[in-house]
Amino acid sequence: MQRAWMVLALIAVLGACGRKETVPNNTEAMPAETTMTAVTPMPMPAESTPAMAMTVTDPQIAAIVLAANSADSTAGALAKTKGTSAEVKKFGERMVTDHGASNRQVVALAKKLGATPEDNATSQKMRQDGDQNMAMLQGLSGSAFDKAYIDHEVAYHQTVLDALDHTLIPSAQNPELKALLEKTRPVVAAHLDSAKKIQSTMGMH
Amino acid sequence: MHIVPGHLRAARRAGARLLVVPTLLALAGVAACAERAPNAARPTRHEVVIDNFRYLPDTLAVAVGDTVTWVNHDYVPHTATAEDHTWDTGSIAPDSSATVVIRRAGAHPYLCTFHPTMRGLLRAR
Repeated sequence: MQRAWMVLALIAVLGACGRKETVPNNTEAMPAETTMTAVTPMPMPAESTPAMAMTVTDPQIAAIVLAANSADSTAGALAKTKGTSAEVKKFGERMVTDHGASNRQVVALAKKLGATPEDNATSQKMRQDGDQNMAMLQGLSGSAFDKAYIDHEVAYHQTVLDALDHTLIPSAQNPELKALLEKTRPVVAAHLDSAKKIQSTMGMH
Repeated sequence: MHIVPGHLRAARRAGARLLVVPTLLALAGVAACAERAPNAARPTRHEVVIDNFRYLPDTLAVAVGDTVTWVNHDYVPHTATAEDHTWDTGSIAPDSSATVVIRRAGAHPYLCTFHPTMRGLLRAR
C-alpha cells in the first residue's frame, strides 16, 4: 500500500513536471555545449503506461537523482547506527557508500557539462518524503525500526527503478547523462533485491 | 589461493628476470626451452570485468596456479569473495583491480559481499 502510494505520488509529480516542460526550451540560458535540454513527449504506444509519456529536462533529472540519492543515503546513515540486526546495519552502510558514489557522479557530470541541476516538483517531493521517513524512523527503535526502514527501502527502490525505466532514462537527452542513468539502474536494482531478501528473512509480508 | 599485491608481483617478476638474464646465452636457452615445451604448466592470467553489477564472464575455466584479476568498471566498490571464504579480493574500488592465485582444483562459486546478487564461478582443473 505504501509503495503504491509512493509510485502514484512520484508519477503525479513527474507528470506535472512533464506537462510543464512541453513548452519550448530556452537554450540561450545554458552554454552551447551543454545539451541538457527539455524534450517534448514521445509518441506513446497504446499499451504504454501514462508515466512513459512524461518528460523532464536533463537539469531536472540531475536534481531528481541528487535528491533521491541524498534521501536514501541519509536514511542509510541512520540505519547504520540505529539498526538492530547486522544485516540492516550493513545494508544502511551500503546505501551511504553507493548513493554517495552516485551523487558524486552526477555532480561531476554536471560540472563537466557546465550545467546546474534544476530543482523541480519531483526533487522537492523526494526531499519531503525523505524528511518524513527520517522523522518516522527517529521515533522507532529495535525490530520496529528495522522493519520500517527495510519496508521503506523496498518501496523507495522500486519507485526509483520505475522512475528510471519509465521517465528518467527515456527522457534524458544528453548521452552522458543517459549513460550515467543506465549505469545507475543496476545499482538500484541490486539494492532492491537485497532489501527484499532482508525483508523476507524478517518475516515481513 | 591468496591475493598477490601488485608490488609483490612486480618484485617476483624482477626476481625472475634476475635469474634468467645473467647472460644473453642463458636467456636464449630459456627461451628455446620454452618453445620446445609449449604444454609446460605456465600460469595463465585471466581477467574478469565487473560492469553493471555483473562479472564478465560470470563463469571461467582456470587451472591451479593461474591468476584471476577482477577489474571494476562500476562507480561503486565491489568484491569477489569465495562462498567458502577461502579467498577474498576485499573491496575493489571503482576503476581498480585485485588479483588472486588459484590454489585448489574444483568449483569456486563466489559473490560480491557488498551486493550479494552478483554471483560468479571459477572452475579450476
